[in-house]
Amino acid sequence: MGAFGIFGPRTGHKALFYEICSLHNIDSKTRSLLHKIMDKYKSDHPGLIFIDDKYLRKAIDDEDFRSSSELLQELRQKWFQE
Amino acid sequence: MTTQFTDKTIRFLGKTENPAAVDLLVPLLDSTDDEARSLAFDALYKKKDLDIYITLFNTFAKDTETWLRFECVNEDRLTKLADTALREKNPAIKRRAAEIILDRKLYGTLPTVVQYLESDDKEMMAKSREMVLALADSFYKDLAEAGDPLKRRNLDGKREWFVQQLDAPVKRFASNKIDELIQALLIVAKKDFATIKTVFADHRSAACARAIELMETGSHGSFQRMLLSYVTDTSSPAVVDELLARRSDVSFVRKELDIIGPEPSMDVRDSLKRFKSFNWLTPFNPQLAEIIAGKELEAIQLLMASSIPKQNIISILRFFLEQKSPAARRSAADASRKLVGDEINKLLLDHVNDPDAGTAAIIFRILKSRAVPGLDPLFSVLVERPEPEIRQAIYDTVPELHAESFASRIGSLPIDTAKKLGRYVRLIDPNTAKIIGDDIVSPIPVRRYSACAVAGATGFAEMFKDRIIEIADKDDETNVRIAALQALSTIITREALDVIKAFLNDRTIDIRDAANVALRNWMETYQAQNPGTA
Repeated sequence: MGAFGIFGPRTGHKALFYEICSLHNIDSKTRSLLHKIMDKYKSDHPGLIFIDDKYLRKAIDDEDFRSSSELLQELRQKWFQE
Repeated sequence: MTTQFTDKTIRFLGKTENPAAVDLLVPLLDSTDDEARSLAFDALYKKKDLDIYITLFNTFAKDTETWLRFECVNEDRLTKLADTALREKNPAIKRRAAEIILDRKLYGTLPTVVQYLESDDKEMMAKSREMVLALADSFYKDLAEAGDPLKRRNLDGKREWFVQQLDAPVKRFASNKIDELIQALLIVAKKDFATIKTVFADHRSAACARAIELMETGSHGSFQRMLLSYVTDTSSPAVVDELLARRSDVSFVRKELDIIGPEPSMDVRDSLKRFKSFNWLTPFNPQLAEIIAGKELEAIQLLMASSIPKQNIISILRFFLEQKSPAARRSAADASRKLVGDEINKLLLDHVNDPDAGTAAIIFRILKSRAVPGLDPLFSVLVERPEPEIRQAIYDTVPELHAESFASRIGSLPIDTAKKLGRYVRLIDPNTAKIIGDDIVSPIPVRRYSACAVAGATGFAEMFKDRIIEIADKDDETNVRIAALQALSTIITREALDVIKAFLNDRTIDIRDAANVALRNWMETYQAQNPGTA
């Protein structure tokens, strides 16, 4: 993979976040949700959400993401507990 | 616990060229999940980035015990990390790298260690000298402990590489004077390695002088090993041969004798010809007996294969023949067959009646084969000795004492000589009785005659008493009957006496005379055996 893709640079944490989403076939809605979570928690490394389950755990109990709570529970189960 | 998802993610982070992946992987090195830590280590290592290597090294160095349990931390990887750390500017990291290199025996870091030997970094220069020596020592121990042939072969392959790393600074020894280099070289190298050959090629060089000094007085076992490896090498450097001839300490010489062995091959014997002397191999060495104890044969082999002057060899053989150890005397006796001349013959005559039968037998055979004058008086002593080795030696070298030969000559021997030889024949030839037994029933009169005569002379008459009486009484040949009567006179029993007396009135005058002689002989023998009787 080159240093630049069609839609911009392929280096940096944002690009890495997208690469991981692509790796796991995460749909755009979920991707957007995950991005919002990492934005809210002010993480410079959004990709950490795929490594460390503390972010999903926190979001599940977060009022701001109550409407997606079920999806997040499901993701947490699938990613970190199976 | 690592899941399929995290496993896939971490592996991806290892493969992606996006440098941001490192920021996600590094925190995982401190994870409580061993699998995640291991995967992260593996992924980071594959980045092949020197800064990441330092991060991995520091992580490893903080908790070596835990990390060593992981398969991802193997010797090659550790070598790479430590090698990178050793090149770091930070002295603390370099120090820790040095510790880990020595602890884990990371021989692959040697090129970097060697670079520091002549560097301006004083701390690392000192440390690297210590490390070169310690690595060499570890390597030597690994070689010594490698029981498995495959492992040994692998180490042998590494051995040459190890020495190659030392080659360049060793060649600069005259200017760098790094003693540890020469020590490490002698510890690891084999004598046929190019670097070693270079060192010994110029005997005036500082490196050669130091190597010789170490092989002469150094305490490390490998210095001795290196020197010993030249013992049987015909192309060894002259300066090494001089040292081999000079070293006299007991333990070294005994190892040298082990190499020669009790039965050295032709090649080994040929290789020893280059030595004209050994400082330890002289009767004036107070430790010589201790050196040769249990290795007498090896010492004699070395002595005889060397080019030591004959005069000195004889004086050393004399020393061996005067030792308490029968093995020493026996091996010296055996070796002396290779030397000729009055002096060695005189020495052998002095020792032919050695208390050890094997030694005496060897010496007797040599002297007999050389027809050395002065052996006869000693022969009468030896022939009386009961040991089978001596009797066999006499049997093999004195055919006159074979019963058959004696039987063929007995008619022409004076009575006293026949009696004396008869006794010897009985001692030496185990077939005497059988030969008498065969001949005494022979239809040929001369065989019966000699059988009776030999029976009387050898003391076997009692065994064939009945047949002898029968011959005395009924044989057609007067001579044979006379011989039978003489044989009867050697049987000191009442029965034999009565038989002899019966022949005093025989119708043949020769038999009556023979009976008289036999009676007189019988009485003399009886009185000799029973003094004071009438």
